[in-house]
Amino acid sequence: MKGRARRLYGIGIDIISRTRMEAFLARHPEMIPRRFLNARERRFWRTMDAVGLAEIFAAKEAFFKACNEPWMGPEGFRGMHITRCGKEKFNMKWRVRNSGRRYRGEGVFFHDGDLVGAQAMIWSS
Amino acid sequence: MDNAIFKKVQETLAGALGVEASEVVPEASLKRDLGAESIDFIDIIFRLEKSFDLKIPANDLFPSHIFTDERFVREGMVTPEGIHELRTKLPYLELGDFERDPQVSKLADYFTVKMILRYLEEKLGKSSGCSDTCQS
Repeated sequence: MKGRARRLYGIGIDIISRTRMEAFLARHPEMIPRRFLNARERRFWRTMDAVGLAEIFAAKEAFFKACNEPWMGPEGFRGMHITRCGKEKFNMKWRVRNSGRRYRGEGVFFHDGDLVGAQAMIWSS
Repeated sequence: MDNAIFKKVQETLAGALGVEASEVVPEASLKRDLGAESIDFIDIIFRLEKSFDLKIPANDLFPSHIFTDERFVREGMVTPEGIHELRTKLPYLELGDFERDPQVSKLADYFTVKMILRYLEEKLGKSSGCSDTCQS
């Protein structure tokens, strides 16, 4: 029996410079956990370095694009939940606040010199 | 336009975006002219909060509540109701010709230095001449 084919609903990609993230982190160490990270991510804040934060940022940006939703600023970032699956892969879910829209997706991180990137995909069946 | 506010905004944006202060003119679009990316928008909010010692609620400058409401955005386009909501809730945002092709993804092109100036002048209770002076 043939299974139902998965269809790609959306794909998004984002890269950010580690150096840029280091500067952001150094400048706003008290604002980032409060305004940018959600409660779950804040638990890892003390051990989070610029690369870890860049991965979160790139994954969420990539997911925004895959969802085809407009950029929603810190509010949007806080609403997305990333679950890492090993070092390179992640799953994501996002329930857009005040709307019925929910998304689930998966993705991979990649690194190239100073750049940290993420690619996110959303499948529908 | 309040010169003290303008100077501070100029320094803040130049620092955040790595551009010359002279490039930070009221008409400049943060994204299109000054090259701001999403991390820069967050950096700018945080820097402005520090520089002006105030809290900028996320929806004040980035209207996410409008983006998530299906009355206001449908299939990637801002509806007439959405345009009205933008004008009401973000009076410092000048929409210009946005209504002709109201793709929500293009809205960020209309986020200008002037928008920030007008927002801060209102927030700080300064009498704003920007809406007149900056029109020309």
